[in-house]
Formats: sequence, structure tokens, C-alpha cells
Amino acid sequence: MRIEPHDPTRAGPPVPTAASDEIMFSISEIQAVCLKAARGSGLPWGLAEEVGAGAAWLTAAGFPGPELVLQLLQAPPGEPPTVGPGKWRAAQGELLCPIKAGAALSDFAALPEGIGAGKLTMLEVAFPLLVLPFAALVARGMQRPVRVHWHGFDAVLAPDGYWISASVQGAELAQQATVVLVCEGTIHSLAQLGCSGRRVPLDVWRRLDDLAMLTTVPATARSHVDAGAAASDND
Amino acid sequence: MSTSVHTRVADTTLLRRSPAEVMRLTRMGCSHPTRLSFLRCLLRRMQDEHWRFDRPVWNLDHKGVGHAVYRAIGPVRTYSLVAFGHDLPDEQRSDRVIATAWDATFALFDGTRAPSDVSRLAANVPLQEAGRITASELTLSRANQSVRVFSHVVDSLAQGRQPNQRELDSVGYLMRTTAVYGSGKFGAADRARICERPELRAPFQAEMLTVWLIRAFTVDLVEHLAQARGGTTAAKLDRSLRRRLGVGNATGLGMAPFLIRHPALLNNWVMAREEALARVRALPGAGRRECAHFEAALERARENAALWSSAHPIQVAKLHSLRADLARLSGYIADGWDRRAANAWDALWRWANVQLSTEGQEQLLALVIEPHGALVDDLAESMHVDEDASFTIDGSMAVGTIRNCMAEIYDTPLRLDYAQPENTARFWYVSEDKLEPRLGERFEEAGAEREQPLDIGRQAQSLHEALKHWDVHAPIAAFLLAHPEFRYMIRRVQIARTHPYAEIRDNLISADMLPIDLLRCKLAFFGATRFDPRSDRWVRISLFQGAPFPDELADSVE
Repeated sequence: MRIEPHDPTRAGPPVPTAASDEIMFSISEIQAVCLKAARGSGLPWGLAEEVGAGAAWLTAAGFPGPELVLQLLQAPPGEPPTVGPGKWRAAQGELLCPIKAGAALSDFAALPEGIGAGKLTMLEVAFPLLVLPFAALVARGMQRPVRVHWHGFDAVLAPDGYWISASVQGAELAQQATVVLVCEGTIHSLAQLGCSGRRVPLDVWRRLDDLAMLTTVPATARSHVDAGAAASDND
Repeated sequence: MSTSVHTRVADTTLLRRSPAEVMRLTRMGCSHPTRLSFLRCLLRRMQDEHWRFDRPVWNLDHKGVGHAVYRAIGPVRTYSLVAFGHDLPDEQRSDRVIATAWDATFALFDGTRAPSDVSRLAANVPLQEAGRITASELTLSRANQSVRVFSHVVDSLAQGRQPNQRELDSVGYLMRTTAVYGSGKFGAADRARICERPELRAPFQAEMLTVWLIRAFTVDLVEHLAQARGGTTAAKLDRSLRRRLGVGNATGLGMAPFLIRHPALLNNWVMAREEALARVRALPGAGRRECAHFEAALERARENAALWSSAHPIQVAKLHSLRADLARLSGYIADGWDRRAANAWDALWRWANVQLSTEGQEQLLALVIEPHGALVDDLAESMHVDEDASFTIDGSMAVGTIRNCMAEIYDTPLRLDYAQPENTARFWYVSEDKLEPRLGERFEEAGAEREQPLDIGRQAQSLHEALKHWDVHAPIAAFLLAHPEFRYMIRRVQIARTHPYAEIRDNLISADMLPIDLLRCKLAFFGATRFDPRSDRWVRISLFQGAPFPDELADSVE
């Protein structure tokens, strides 16, 4: 695809057209677009950073990180948890946001309300797979394995790798589940995070990009001039 | 590590300059490249490891259209710069990111390229941002000719003459890059994929290698074009003239937010430099050889300052100060400095702190560490960072602990009155059309509701205010559950708590903030010279000027 100078029909990064409907994106591109899309959807910057980091982790672990983030951002916003020893739930009886719950999981890890005390149940979490990257952070921080399971899905996040098993097909992509986390876990043969990007469906990428563009500002003529567009470049 | 090194490191903690002195925009805006700059690290490693270089493909026509391949062959791995030459009409030549066509485009390939890779790259690299590269590529870049110098050199060489040295020096390069993308951009290899390789562990090594090989390409290209035009009468560029050429670079606001978005990384860069200075100051005496090396470096700095030109009033004033400082320093070295005294380097440094301007002090920093490679070069190994390690927030930290460390780190912004318009006059944003960072006028332009989070001081003050309503013993986890909007800032505070040089101690949205101060700091860490601002927010610089070429590296003193 060739972009014409000052093409008035274009905004944002050029999304390549290709014969296939998927494009290979690097992990850092996935992290960046998910961070910006989360911010564009209204999450505060600090939580948007968590979304980006989570998408990067899931991608590196072979999961469809961008697709999950898009589903999350298109769904009604979930709630932060009301934290109590052993059991966390959404305050208003709605679904727990996996990012807010995951961030709290990490923040409270060494506190009485957190997983460090032993077992923690999070009731009705939306897109529970998005909690997994936070459990990995906790495992790394505490230098202890963390087991995460919900119906049909079981995982152990260890400081130096992870192990995942789904006994029910598609359970890892559940829309919602009650998630049980235990600060223990038998170490099976651990997998290591990859460092390759992922093929992402173009329609998913475009929708994430549309949300990401909500963090940008139309440039003014003045900003072009300030940035040097009025100056001669030929010396 | 030997015992003596341990002793020395312990001593140097007290000699390091304080963050409150170093992390100020006025001082950052006087930064000079040092032997720890990233391009110097690259050259040193390649020289120490006896890297070999060749050019297995040169397939360009009489107009310079076609492609070439340059290889850098290290002890374990090989990297190949694939260069594409294009025939670009003069009217399309623009340095700005808004350009869509260039004189030459490049990708750094991970390995020795295969023909199928070249055809894939030929379909994508010339398109730059509109194309895609893969994890087999480490960088994507493009460059434009300096029309005046490029033509002059080709014309002269074609006629069998050497180009005019003054003409060459007035620009200092044949081509300038307008972007060098790495770290996963446009599909390139992620940093995580390559950061364990010793040769790519230091920051921006793949980007620096790209630019260094581009420099070789620019000279090969003018010689090729001269040959095509002049035939047997054509001359090769004299080696001493060639040395005077770097690669130009035009860069703008895009670089500035990087320093603020990567606080742990910035800390490691500055810490390495400050530790290097402290180690030299901690030396019991000045050796004869080091003194001679220092004086040679001072002489080169004076030549550089004489050739360094700019029309921008801010830079003109700085250059004036620098030249005056260097003259005064030379006088002092000749007549005043007692190099046989105990702690002679420290004494010199203390003299400079009283007698020289900030420009001169920062230049002297580079000069005093220059002769002390054996003492400081290991610090290059500490300039990268594992950002994942500092990403996790320690939620068990008490509110009072956060408040206490904020009082020290954000001392200046916490006392600022952000109700005064001049203290919030600007806002950083990303432009919708080019996705470039820009700086807007908050009270004159629309878009501040989409501000980028670079207003660190103001956020620090808001956070500090909010924390006042919390019990000092409460864990910050509870605060964050109630106030997710402060998560970004809490993360920064915790990073800054253990990384003293992570935060810039100035207001980045004030009416009088100069973005070029941020640019100069970053570019000095790259190793850039001839910093020449074209406005308060974009700049031309030169990379690798005076450095050896691939065919000279083995025999050079680096």
C-alpha cells in the first residue's frame, strides 16, 4: 500500500492490506495498540499499561491477546473487586473486570486480603484469561508458583515458566468464570514465554486501532509549523 | 570483580552528583557525548571482538538505483544492512516524518540475507511505515541526500578532483537519516528476542550499527556515481576527508517523550555517566599517559567546537559559552592545574564547577572520562534495563513511605502553583494524522483532554494531595483500589525511589520548557555531535563524524 502525501482520507497508522486477512504483528506492536486502545476506551493510564503488558504476556504464551483485549474493551466495563480475605467479588453484583481484579491481585499479593495468605476466590470474572498475566507477575514477585483454575481450565504460573491445561475445549476463552487462585502448585514441565509476535485478524486490529486513535488529537497547522514542516530541508 | 574495584565503587557513591543537580533541563540541554555513548560502545565492541565487514552485493545503476548489502560479521552472529537506492526528484526530498519518498531506504537483517529475503524487503522497505518487515529484521530506516554536498562531492570526484573541505565541513554528511526504527516497529524483531545477545544488550546497538553501515554506503554511493559519470578519470574520496563525514539526522519531538516514558532506563544511562565521573574524581592522582590523552581530547573538543555551527539563537549562545569555556580550560590546564597534586582530577572538576558554565562543565565531564577507559568502560554493561522488573507495583508499601519519598523526588513540582496558567501552558499529545508526539498550547489549542501523561510534576502534586487524606500506615494497594487514576504515578514513584536519576526535576508542561533540552540529552547518549536546533523543537545532528569506517576499524584507536 502506498500512502500519498497528505492523504486526507487517512488517519492513524497505515494498516497494511494483504492477500490474507491476518497480519503478523510484533509483541511490542500488540502491547502498544492494546495500551492505547484501553486508554482510548477510558481506562486510566496506569491500568491501560496493565492491559498492554497483559496482551504482550498472553501473546508470548501463544494466546490471542489482542482478540481478548478487544472483547474486553467492547463489553460493558467490569467492576473493581471488593476485597476480603479469601473471597473477592464485584461490589454491585456485576462482573469483575479482569484488569482491575488482576491489578489488585498483584497489589494485594503480600497483604492479608491477597493470595499470599493461601487461597483466593474471585467470583464471576469477565474474560478470566486476562487475569493470568497478573498471576504470573505475582509468581515472579513472590518467587512461588500460583495455580489458577476455573471450570475446565487449569494453569500453574511459576517464577520461571508456566503450565496450562484446558479439559473443556475453549475453556481458556470463557466469557466469564469464577476463578480460584492458590499459592501453590505442582510444577509440571514448564513452558517458556515465546518472543515471536502473532498473526492477528485485520478486523480485530482495525477495531483496536480505532480505539487507540481516541488517544490522538487532530494536528493543527500551527503544530505542523512548530514541528518543522515550514522549514527547508535541502542543504 | 577485584577488591580494589569494590573499594572504589563504595567511595564513588558520595562523589556522584545529586539528581537535583543533574536531572534539570538546563543541564540536560548541555549534554555532550562521552565514551559511554551508545555508538562508542558499538565501535569498541566490534573492534575488541575483531568483527569483519564486507559488501557482498553492489547492484546499483548509473543513477544509484538498485540495492547493496553490507555485512557485519561478529564472533557468533552476522548482521546485514540491505540498502535500496532510489531516484528521488528534488522536489520530493523532505526530512520530515511526513515524507513518503526517500533517496535511500534500509533494513538491518538478522543474519546473512538470502535472495528471497531481498525480494521481500524490496517490496516493503522502500515503503517504510506503509510496508511490513519481519522478526528477521532488526531495524527499518531511510535517508536523504544533502543536496549541496552530495552533488558537489559527486561532481568533484567525477572530474578527478577532491571536494572542497570547507564545503564538506559546512554540512558534515552526505546523507541524513530521518528515522531509524527498531524494537518491533512495523513487524521487526522484538527487543526481547535479541536483548540477551551481548552485542545488542546495550541500548540502541542495532540502530547504531544500521547508521554506521549507512555511512559506508553513502561514501560508496558517491564514488559509484562519480565513476559512472567520470569513468577512468574519476577519483576516490580522500580518506582523511571521508573521516570528516558522518551521517546526518533530523529529529524532532518524537524523541522527547521517550526519556519520560522510560524512567528506569533513563536512570541507568545517567547513573553510568555519573558513576564514571565519580570514579575519575576518586582517583588518587592523574597519570602521565591519561593527562596526555586528556589534552589530546581537549584539543579535539576545541576543533569540534570551532566547526560546530548553528543559526539558532539558543544554540549560538551555548556555543559561545562552550568556546569560551574551552579556551579558559586550556589556559588552566597549561598554567594553573597541578596535575601532580593528590586527587588532581577531582581538583580540576571542582575548579570547573566554579569557573565554567554548564556547557563547559558537561564537556569537561566527557573529557575527563575519555582517557579512563579501563576504569569506566565496564559501565556500558549497566546501561540497559529490564523494564518488566520495575513494572510491578509493591502494593504493601505504606502510604507514608510513598509520601516521604515523593517529598524528596518531587520537591520542586510539589511547591509549584499549577493554577498559574504559565505552569500548565503546554500539553503533550500524539497527532492523529502522523502519530507523532507534539506539544500543544493548552489555552489556545483544542485536544488537551487527550493529553499524554508527561505532566509528571502536576500528577505528582495531585497524588500527593490525594494521599494526605489517607492513613500513613495504609497499604498503597488499598489506595489504588479506590484511586486507579493514580496507578501510573504510583508506579513512577516506586521506580524513582530505587532509581535516583529516573525523574526530570522540572515542569514539562510549563510555558518556558524547551523540548530541545530533552533531545540534546538523549542524542548525547546516542553519541551525536554538532547538535543544531532548527527551532525549539527539532534539530539536526551528526552521527559517527570522525569515527573509523568499516575498513579502518581494526587499525583505529577507539
